[in-house]
Amino acid sequence: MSDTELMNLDTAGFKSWVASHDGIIIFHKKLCPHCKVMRTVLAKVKIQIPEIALATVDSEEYPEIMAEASVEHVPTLCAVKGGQVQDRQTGVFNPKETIAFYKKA
Amino acid sequence: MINNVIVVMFDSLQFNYVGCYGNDWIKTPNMDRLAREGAMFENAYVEGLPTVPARRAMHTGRFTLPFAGWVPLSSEDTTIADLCWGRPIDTALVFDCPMYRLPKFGYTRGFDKLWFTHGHEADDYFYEKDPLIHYNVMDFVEENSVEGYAKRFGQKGAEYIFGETSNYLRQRQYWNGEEDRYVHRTMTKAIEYLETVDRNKQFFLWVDSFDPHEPWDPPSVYDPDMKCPYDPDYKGKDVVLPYPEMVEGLYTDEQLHHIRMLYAELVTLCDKNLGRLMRTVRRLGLDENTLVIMVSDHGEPMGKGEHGHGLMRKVRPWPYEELAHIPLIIRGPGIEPGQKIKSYVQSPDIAPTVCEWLGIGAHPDMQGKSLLPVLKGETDKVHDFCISGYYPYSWSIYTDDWSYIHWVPNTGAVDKMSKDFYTANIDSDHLLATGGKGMFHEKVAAQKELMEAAKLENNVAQEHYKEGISVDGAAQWTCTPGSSSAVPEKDELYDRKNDPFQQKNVLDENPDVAKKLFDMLRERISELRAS
Repeated sequence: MSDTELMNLDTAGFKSWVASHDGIIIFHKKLCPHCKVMRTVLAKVKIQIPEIALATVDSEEYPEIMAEASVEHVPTLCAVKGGQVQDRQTGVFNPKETIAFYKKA
Repeated sequence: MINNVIVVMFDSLQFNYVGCYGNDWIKTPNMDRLAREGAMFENAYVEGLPTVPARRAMHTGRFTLPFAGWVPLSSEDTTIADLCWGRPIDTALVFDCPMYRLPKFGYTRGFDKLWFTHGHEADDYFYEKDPLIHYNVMDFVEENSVEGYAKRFGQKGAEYIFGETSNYLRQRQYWNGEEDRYVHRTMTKAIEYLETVDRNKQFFLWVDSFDPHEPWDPPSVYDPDMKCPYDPDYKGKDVVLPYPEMVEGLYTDEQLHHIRMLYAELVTLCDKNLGRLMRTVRRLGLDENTLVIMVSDHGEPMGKGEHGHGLMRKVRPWPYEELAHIPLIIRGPGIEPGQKIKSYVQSPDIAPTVCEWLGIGAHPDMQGKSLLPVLKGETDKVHDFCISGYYPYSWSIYTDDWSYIHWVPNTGAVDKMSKDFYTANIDSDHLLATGGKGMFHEKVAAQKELMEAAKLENNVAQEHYKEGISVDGAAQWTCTPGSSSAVPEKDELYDRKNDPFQQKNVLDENPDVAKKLFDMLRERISELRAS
């Protein structure tokens, strides 16, 4: 899975995605090196858990989604289950830690 | 197929004190010969500094940045020796580097054979009960440096160097000549190992010489008939253990030069002992199936300007060229002789290289890359650039055109580095339970008294006094006493081609370059964090 296959969410898309998917949304900035690395990590997570849904929110384009999801910094991962953001994790993590975060949420 | 590996580690061997690395006045004929027979890497950098993280990366093949600094080997780490277990490979560690012996650090784990030579640096307390009869400490300490240090940190603080020098001289008074110096004794044991090892099996030998680390006490110091070959007309004292501190006001330029020349003479002694080992390798025919790697864990700051950015000994977390750039020479059958390899290579590349040569294959956890493809001409690049640093104080990046250093802000306190770099991960309860290390607790009491006296004497001392010893046993795990975490306030950018030793910061003139390098550095650190 290449990075471009991650679905980019806008404000309306965010709400409907959360309501209809179990997975991880990454809040990122285009030129942030840590965000770039975390998108690569998510690709590795997808290989290990093919059924996991993944999406992205560009924090600079959609600051209102940041506020709605209570996200202040990037990169932040939001674990989405049962129609809600269950947990958030900010920073850089390896695939093992990311999977553990998602499973625990 | 019987493929063996010998790694020869010389601690604190600065790359530009080796002939084949461009030094035209030092005598290192055996290192130069090794480079002619094999390949030398011109751009080898240690990632995590200093002694312990450098070795951890080399044994595990994993970067220590951005996770940890001076910490024990973890049970999750997989070392070369661990991987040799259960295979027809005999493993041996022959060493005098006290950091492998640090209690609870576990770096000797997994080796079949161990030989430790007592006495170097942190292990000098092994001789603390021997009366000092034959030497006078003041013959090895310059009065002007004591006065200079006392002005800065108080008289009692200045007397610290007497203790460190005395403990060294207590053991040195029994020596008869260069065959008693650590590097000679350690290499002798390594030669004995080679002569007795089962040649029907493979072996992995790691020889770890703490020389040319200070005390810089080469033959000309103890042989009355000798003059230092690199400074024969010098009339002052031989300061074998200078104050670990910023040198301004402590030593004259002539004294600093002589200290460096004593270091250089010790490098030549190390070279001579490498020659002893290599003659044995040749005599036994091991050169036909054995990979020999000569490497160092870091260089050494030794004075002003390009010699050390004003610093003597490694008591600041500053990953400048003189510390981070290392010599790395590899010789083995099938490797084209005389290669000068420009590719960037790093300390974690050692483990996968050794494992591939032994036929084990690199462990999937290893982040370093085997150097065998580049040595065999199958590729010309290992890494695009190098990184280096002290967790958690500094990160740096080295490219063809630039070097860039990012300083992570901290309080710069003396005890901070002792506590969070050197001792943070150690449970030292066993020391209290067993009464400590030798006369350790007596020394703690004495040190506390000195510290209080220094505080009364001079307020500056309250910030800088070398509280190297503490009741929790912290001093056992530290490297050079009195290390301070102080770092410059602003990041630095240097023109690597014209200013390799980083003397003129050109960040303000090149903000775009600086930003690009900082982003590359952040991305690399981030990748390591995520892998």
